[in-house]
Amino acid sequence: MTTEATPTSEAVTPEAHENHDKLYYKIFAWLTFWTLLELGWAEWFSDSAAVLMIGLSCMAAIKASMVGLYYMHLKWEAKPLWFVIAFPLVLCIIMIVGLLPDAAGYWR
Amino acid sequence: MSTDAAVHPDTHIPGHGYENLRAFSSGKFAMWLFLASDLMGFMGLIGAYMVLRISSANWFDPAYDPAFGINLTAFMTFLLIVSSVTMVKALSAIQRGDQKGLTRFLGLTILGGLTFLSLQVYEWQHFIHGIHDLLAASPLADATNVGKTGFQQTFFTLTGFHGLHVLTGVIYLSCIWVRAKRGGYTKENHSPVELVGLFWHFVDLVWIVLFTILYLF
Repeated sequence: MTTEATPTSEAVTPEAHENHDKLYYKIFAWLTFWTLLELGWAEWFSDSAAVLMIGLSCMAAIKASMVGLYYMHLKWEAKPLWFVIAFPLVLCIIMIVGLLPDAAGYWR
Repeated sequence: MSTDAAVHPDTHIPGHGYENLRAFSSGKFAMWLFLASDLMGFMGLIGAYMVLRISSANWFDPAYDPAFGINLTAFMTFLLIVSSVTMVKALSAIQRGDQKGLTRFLGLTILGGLTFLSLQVYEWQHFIHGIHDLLAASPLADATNVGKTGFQQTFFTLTGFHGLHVLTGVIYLSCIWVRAKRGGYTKENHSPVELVGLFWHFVDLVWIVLFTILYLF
Protein backbone atom coordinates (compact mmCIF):
# COMPACT_ATOMS: atom_id res chain seq x y z
CA MET A 1 0.00 0.00 0.00
CA THR A 2 1.45 3.34 -1.02
CA THR A 3 1.05 6.57 0.87
CA GLU A 4 1.26 10.20 -0.23
CA ALA A 5 2.58 13.17 1.74
CA THR A 6 -0.41 14.88 3.31
CA PRO A 7 -0.74 18.66 3.44
CA THR A 8 -1.78 18.30 7.08
CA SER A 9 1.26 16.30 8.10
CA GLU A 10 3.85 18.05 10.22
CA ALA A 11 6.64 16.39 8.26
CA VAL A 12 5.73 18.02 4.94
CA THR A 13 8.66 19.64 3.15
CA PRO A 14 8.59 23.26 1.85
CA GLU A 15 8.63 21.87 -1.70
CA ALA A 16 5.54 19.79 -0.95
CA HIS A 17 3.79 22.89 0.41
CA GLU A 18 4.66 24.78 -2.76
CA ASN A 19 3.21 21.94 -4.82
CA HIS A 20 0.01 21.98 -2.76
CA ASP A 21 -0.27 25.75 -3.18
CA LYS A 22 -0.15 25.21 -6.94
CA LEU A 23 -2.78 22.51 -6.59
CA TYR A 24 -5.03 24.84 -4.58
CA TYR A 25 -4.88 27.47 -7.36
CA LYS A 26 -5.54 24.79 -9.96
CA ILE A 27 -8.64 23.67 -8.04
CA PHE A 28 -9.73 27.31 -7.75
CA ALA A 29 -9.46 27.66 -11.54
CA TRP A 30 -11.53 24.49 -12.02
CA LEU A 31 -14.18 25.65 -9.53
CA THR A 32 -14.45 28.97 -11.37
CA PHE A 33 -14.69 27.14 -14.69
CA TRP A 34 -17.48 24.84 -13.43
CA THR A 35 -19.38 27.80 -11.96
CA LEU A 36 -19.25 29.66 -15.28
CA LEU A 37 -20.30 26.49 -17.11
CA GLU A 38 -23.23 26.11 -14.68
CA LEU A 39 -24.38 29.64 -15.49
CA GLY A 40 -24.12 28.95 -19.21
CA TRP A 41 -25.87 25.59 -18.83
CA ALA A 42 -28.75 27.19 -16.93
CA GLU A 43 -29.10 29.73 -19.76
CA TRP A 44 -28.80 27.26 -22.67
CA PHE A 45 -31.05 24.50 -21.32
CA SER A 46 -33.64 26.57 -19.49
CA ASP A 47 -36.39 24.98 -21.63
CA SER A 48 -35.32 21.38 -21.03
CA ALA A 49 -35.92 20.54 -17.35
CA ALA A 50 -34.33 17.07 -17.42
CA VAL A 51 -31.11 18.16 -19.17
CA LEU A 52 -30.93 21.22 -16.91
CA MET A 53 -31.32 19.24 -13.69
CA ILE A 54 -29.02 16.35 -14.62
CA GLY A 55 -26.29 18.66 -15.94
CA LEU A 56 -26.42 21.07 -13.01
CA SER A 57 -26.56 18.24 -10.44
CA CYS A 58 -23.46 16.63 -11.96
CA MET A 59 -21.57 19.92 -12.01
CA ALA A 60 -22.55 20.74 -8.41
CA ALA A 61 -21.41 17.23 -7.36
CA ILE A 62 -18.06 17.71 -9.12
CA LYS A 63 -17.53 21.11 -7.45
CA ALA A 64 -18.53 19.82 -4.01
CA SER A 65 -16.19 16.81 -4.42
CA MET A 66 -13.31 19.09 -5.39
CA VAL A 67 -13.80 21.21 -2.25
CA GLY A 68 -14.11 18.10 -0.06
CA LEU A 69 -11.18 16.20 -1.56
CA TYR A 70 -8.64 18.99 -1.99
CA TYR A 71 -9.56 21.92 0.28
CA MET A 72 -10.84 19.75 3.15
CA HIS A 73 -7.92 17.38 2.48
CA LEU A 74 -10.07 14.24 2.36
CA LYS A 75 -7.88 12.94 -0.44
CA TRP A 76 -5.02 12.62 2.03
CA GLU A 77 -6.94 11.64 5.15
CA ALA A 78 -6.81 8.26 6.86
CA LYS A 79 -9.42 5.84 5.60
CA PRO A 80 -11.38 5.48 8.91
CA LEU A 81 -12.35 9.15 8.61
CA TRP A 82 -14.00 8.35 5.30
CA PHE A 83 -16.53 6.18 7.15
CA VAL A 84 -17.57 9.16 9.29
CA ILE A 85 -18.42 11.01 6.07
CA ALA A 86 -19.76 8.03 4.12
CA PHE A 87 -22.36 7.15 6.76
CA PRO A 88 -24.41 10.41 6.59
CA LEU A 89 -23.98 10.49 2.82
CA VAL A 90 -25.58 7.05 2.59
CA LEU A 91 -28.40 8.24 4.87
CA CYS A 92 -28.90 11.31 2.66
CA ILE A 93 -29.08 9.13 -0.45
CA ILE A 94 -31.63 6.88 1.27
CA MET A 95 -33.68 9.97 2.14
CA ILE A 96 -33.60 11.29 -1.44
CA VAL A 97 -34.49 7.83 -2.82
CA GLY A 98 -37.27 7.63 -0.22
CA LEU A 99 -38.68 10.94 -1.46
CA LEU A 100 -38.71 9.84 -5.11
CA PRO A 101 -42.10 8.05 -4.88
CA ASP A 102 -43.61 11.35 -3.68
CA ALA A 103 -42.10 13.11 -6.67
CA ALA A 104 -43.29 10.39 -9.04
CA GLY A 105 -46.80 10.65 -7.56
CA TYR A 106 -46.99 14.38 -8.21
CA TRP A 107 -45.59 14.07 -11.75
CA ARG A 108 -48.26 11.52 -12.64
CA MET B 1 6.77 1.86 -1.61
CA SER B 2 5.88 2.17 2.03
CA THR B 3 3.26 0.84 4.37
CA ASP B 4 0.92 2.63 6.78
CA ALA B 5 2.74 0.99 9.66
CA ALA B 6 6.01 2.41 8.35
CA VAL B 7 4.51 5.90 8.19
CA HIS B 8 3.08 5.70 11.71
CA PRO B 9 5.34 3.20 13.53
CA ASP B 10 4.06 4.17 16.98
CA THR B 11 0.48 3.44 16.07
CA HIS B 12 1.03 -0.17 15.12
CA ILE B 13 -0.70 -2.53 17.54
CA PRO B 14 -0.33 -5.99 16.02
CA GLY B 15 -3.58 -7.83 15.71
CA HIS B 16 -5.78 -4.92 16.77
CA GLY B 17 -6.24 -3.23 13.42
CA TYR B 18 -6.25 0.28 14.92
CA GLU B 19 -3.20 1.42 12.93
CA ASN B 20 -5.02 4.27 11.16
CA LEU B 21 -7.14 5.52 14.04
CA ARG B 22 -4.38 7.73 15.45
CA ALA B 23 -3.57 9.18 12.05
CA PHE B 24 -5.95 12.07 12.83
CA SER B 25 -6.59 14.03 16.02
CA SER B 26 -9.66 13.72 18.22
CA GLY B 27 -10.45 17.36 17.43
CA LYS B 28 -10.52 16.64 13.72
CA PHE B 29 -12.64 13.54 14.31
CA ALA B 30 -15.11 15.60 16.38
CA MET B 31 -15.27 18.34 13.72
CA TRP B 32 -15.99 15.78 11.00
CA LEU B 33 -18.71 14.22 13.19
CA PHE B 34 -20.26 17.67 13.65
CA LEU B 35 -20.06 18.40 9.92
CA ALA B 36 -21.64 15.03 9.16
CA SER B 37 -24.59 15.80 11.44
CA ASP B 38 -24.85 19.32 10.05
CA LEU B 39 -24.88 17.89 6.53
CA MET B 40 -27.87 15.74 7.49
CA GLY B 41 -29.63 18.87 8.80
CA PHE B 42 -29.08 20.63 5.47
CA MET B 43 -30.18 17.54 3.56
CA GLY B 44 -33.43 17.48 5.57
CA LEU B 45 -34.14 21.06 4.47
CA ILE B 46 -33.14 20.32 0.88
CA GLY B 47 -35.41 17.24 0.91
CA ALA B 48 -38.31 19.39 2.15
CA TYR B 49 -37.51 21.89 -0.62
CA MET B 50 -37.64 19.10 -3.23
CA VAL B 51 -41.02 17.82 -2.07
CA LEU B 52 -42.54 21.32 -1.75
CA ARG B 53 -41.26 22.32 -5.16
CA ILE B 54 -42.46 19.20 -6.94
CA SER B 55 -45.86 19.25 -5.23
CA SER B 56 -46.47 22.92 -6.02
CA ALA B 57 -48.55 23.56 -9.13
CA ASN B 58 -47.30 27.13 -9.41
CA TRP B 59 -43.93 27.16 -7.71
CA PHE B 60 -42.77 30.62 -8.72
CA ASP B 61 -45.75 32.97 -8.70
CA PRO B 62 -44.95 36.25 -10.49
CA ALA B 63 -47.78 37.91 -8.53
CA TYR B 64 -45.88 37.41 -5.26
CA ASP B 65 -42.32 36.39 -6.13
CA PRO B 66 -40.11 39.10 -7.64
CA ALA B 67 -37.54 37.98 -10.18
CA PHE B 68 -33.94 38.47 -9.13
CA GLY B 69 -30.75 38.57 -11.14
CA ILE B 70 -28.30 35.72 -11.06
CA ASN B 71 -25.19 37.91 -11.40
CA LEU B 72 -25.11 38.93 -7.76
CA THR B 73 -25.42 35.36 -6.44
CA ALA B 74 -22.87 34.13 -9.01
CA PHE B 75 -20.49 36.74 -7.60
CA MET B 76 -21.32 35.58 -4.05
CA THR B 77 -20.47 32.01 -5.08
CA PHE B 78 -17.18 33.19 -6.56
CA LEU B 79 -16.49 35.09 -3.34
CA LEU B 80 -16.92 31.97 -1.18
CA ILE B 81 -14.66 29.98 -3.52
CA VAL B 82 -11.99 32.70 -3.22
CA SER B 83 -12.38 32.67 0.58
CA SER B 84 -11.81 28.90 0.53
CA VAL B 85 -8.53 29.50 -1.30
CA THR B 86 -7.43 32.12 1.24
CA MET B 87 -8.35 29.64 4.00
CA VAL B 88 -6.16 26.85 2.61
CA LYS B 89 -3.41 29.42 2.08
CA ALA B 90 -3.70 30.41 5.78
CA LEU B 91 -3.27 26.78 6.82
CA SER B 92 -0.44 26.31 4.35
CA ALA B 93 1.28 29.42 5.77
CA ILE B 94 1.25 28.23 9.39
CA GLN B 95 2.39 24.77 8.31
CA ARG B 96 5.50 26.54 7.03
CA GLY B 97 5.70 28.49 10.30
CA ASP B 98 4.71 31.77 8.57
CA GLN B 99 2.64 33.55 11.26
CA LYS B 100 2.28 36.78 9.25
CA GLY B 101 0.95 34.81 6.31
CA LEU B 102 -1.53 33.08 8.61
CA THR B 103 -2.99 36.34 9.96
CA ARG B 104 -3.04 37.92 6.49
CA PHE B 105 -4.89 35.04 4.85
CA LEU B 106 -7.21 34.54 7.82
CA GLY B 107 -8.05 38.25 7.62
CA LEU B 108 -8.83 37.94 3.91
CA THR B 109 -11.07 34.94 4.63
CA ILE B 110 -12.97 36.91 7.27
CA LEU B 111 -13.31 39.81 4.81
CA GLY B 112 -14.72 37.40 2.20
CA GLY B 113 -17.24 36.05 4.72
CA LEU B 114 -18.32 39.54 5.80
CA THR B 115 -18.75 40.66 2.18
CA PHE B 116 -20.83 37.54 1.48
CA LEU B 117 -23.05 38.30 4.48
CA SER B 118 -23.46 41.94 3.45
CA LEU B 119 -24.48 40.90 -0.05
CA GLN B 120 -26.95 38.39 1.39
CA VAL B 121 -28.54 41.11 3.55
CA TYR B 122 -28.74 43.32 0.43
CA GLU B 123 -30.33 40.46 -1.55
CA TRP B 124 -32.90 39.76 1.19
CA GLN B 125 -33.79 43.47 1.44
CA HIS B 126 -34.11 43.70 -2.34
CA PHE B 127 -36.29 40.59 -2.39
CA ILE B 128 -38.57 41.71 0.47
CA HIS B 129 -39.01 45.18 -1.08
CA GLY B 130 -39.74 43.48 -4.42
CA ILE B 131 -42.53 41.46 -2.81
CA HIS B 132 -44.10 44.60 -1.36
CA ASP B 133 -43.75 46.46 -4.67
CA LEU B 134 -45.54 43.62 -6.46
CA LEU B 135 -48.35 43.73 -3.93
CA ALA B 136 -48.71 47.49 -4.28
CA ALA B 137 -48.82 47.22 -8.06
CA SER B 138 -51.38 44.41 -8.19
CA PRO B 139 -54.81 44.95 -6.63
CA LEU B 140 -55.55 41.24 -7.15
CA ALA B 141 -52.63 40.08 -5.03
CA ASP B 142 -53.60 38.94 -1.55
CA ALA B 143 -51.41 40.55 1.12
CA THR B 144 -52.00 37.63 3.48
CA ASN B 145 -50.06 35.44 1.06
CA VAL B 146 -46.79 37.30 1.58
CA GLY B 147 -44.15 34.84 2.70
CA LYS B 148 -46.47 31.92 2.15
CA THR B 149 -45.51 30.80 -1.34
CA GLY B 150 -43.32 27.71 -1.44
CA PHE B 151 -40.52 29.58 -3.15
CA GLN B 152 -40.38 32.32 -0.50
CA GLN B 153 -40.53 29.90 2.42
CA THR B 154 -37.76 27.66 1.14
CA PHE B 155 -35.65 30.54 -0.17
CA PHE B 156 -35.56 32.35 3.16
CA THR B 157 -35.20 29.15 5.21
CA LEU B 158 -32.34 27.68 3.18
CA THR B 159 -30.39 30.90 2.59
CA GLY B 160 -31.09 31.98 6.20
CA PHE B 161 -29.80 28.71 7.66
CA HIS B 162 -26.72 28.91 5.45
CA GLY B 163 -26.25 32.58 6.33
CA LEU B 164 -26.22 31.65 10.01
CA HIS B 165 -23.43 29.19 9.24
CA VAL B 166 -21.47 31.92 7.45
CA LEU B 167 -21.96 34.23 10.44
CA THR B 168 -20.81 31.44 12.81
CA GLY B 169 -17.82 30.84 10.54
CA VAL B 170 -16.87 34.53 10.57
CA ILE B 171 -17.07 34.64 14.39
CA TYR B 172 -15.10 31.39 14.66
CA LEU B 173 -12.47 32.69 12.20
CA SER B 174 -12.25 35.99 14.10
CA CYS B 175 -11.47 34.13 17.37
CA ILE B 176 -8.74 32.16 15.59
CA TRP B 177 -7.42 35.38 13.97
CA VAL B 178 -7.14 37.13 17.37
CA ARG B 179 -5.12 34.23 18.77
CA ALA B 180 -3.03 34.06 15.60
CA LYS B 181 -2.28 37.78 15.90
CA ARG B 182 -0.91 37.08 19.41
CA GLY B 183 1.34 34.38 18.01
CA GLY B 184 -0.75 31.55 19.44
CA TYR B 185 -0.07 29.16 16.58
CA THR B 186 3.17 27.63 15.44
CA LYS B 187 4.37 25.21 12.80
CA GLU B 188 4.00 22.39 15.34
CA ASN B 189 0.76 23.54 16.98
CA HIS B 190 -1.92 24.76 14.58
CA SER B 191 -4.73 22.24 14.91
CA PRO B 192 -7.46 24.91 15.54
CA VAL B 193 -6.57 26.58 12.22
CA GLU B 194 -7.14 23.27 10.45
CA LEU B 195 -10.48 22.77 12.25
CA VAL B 196 -11.83 26.24 11.42
CA GLY B 197 -10.75 25.59 7.84
CA LEU B 198 -12.83 22.41 7.73
CA PHE B 199 -15.88 24.34 8.95
CA TRP B 200 -15.33 27.15 6.45
CA HIS B 201 -14.90 24.79 3.47
CA PHE B 202 -18.09 22.99 4.54
CA VAL B 203 -19.94 26.32 4.41
CA ASP B 204 -18.55 26.83 0.88
CA LEU B 205 -19.48 23.27 -0.13
CA VAL B 206 -23.08 23.68 1.05
CA TRP B 207 -23.41 27.00 -0.82
CA ILE B 208 -22.27 25.30 -4.04
CA VAL B 209 -25.26 22.95 -3.72
CA LEU B 210 -27.71 25.68 -2.60
CA PHE B 211 -26.67 28.00 -5.42
CA THR B 212 -27.45 25.28 -7.93
CA ILE B 213 -30.82 24.17 -6.58
CA LEU B 214 -32.16 27.58 -5.49
CA TYR B 215 -30.93 29.88 -8.23
CA LEU B 216 -30.23 27.75 -11.30
CA PHE B 217 -32.95 25.03 -11.34
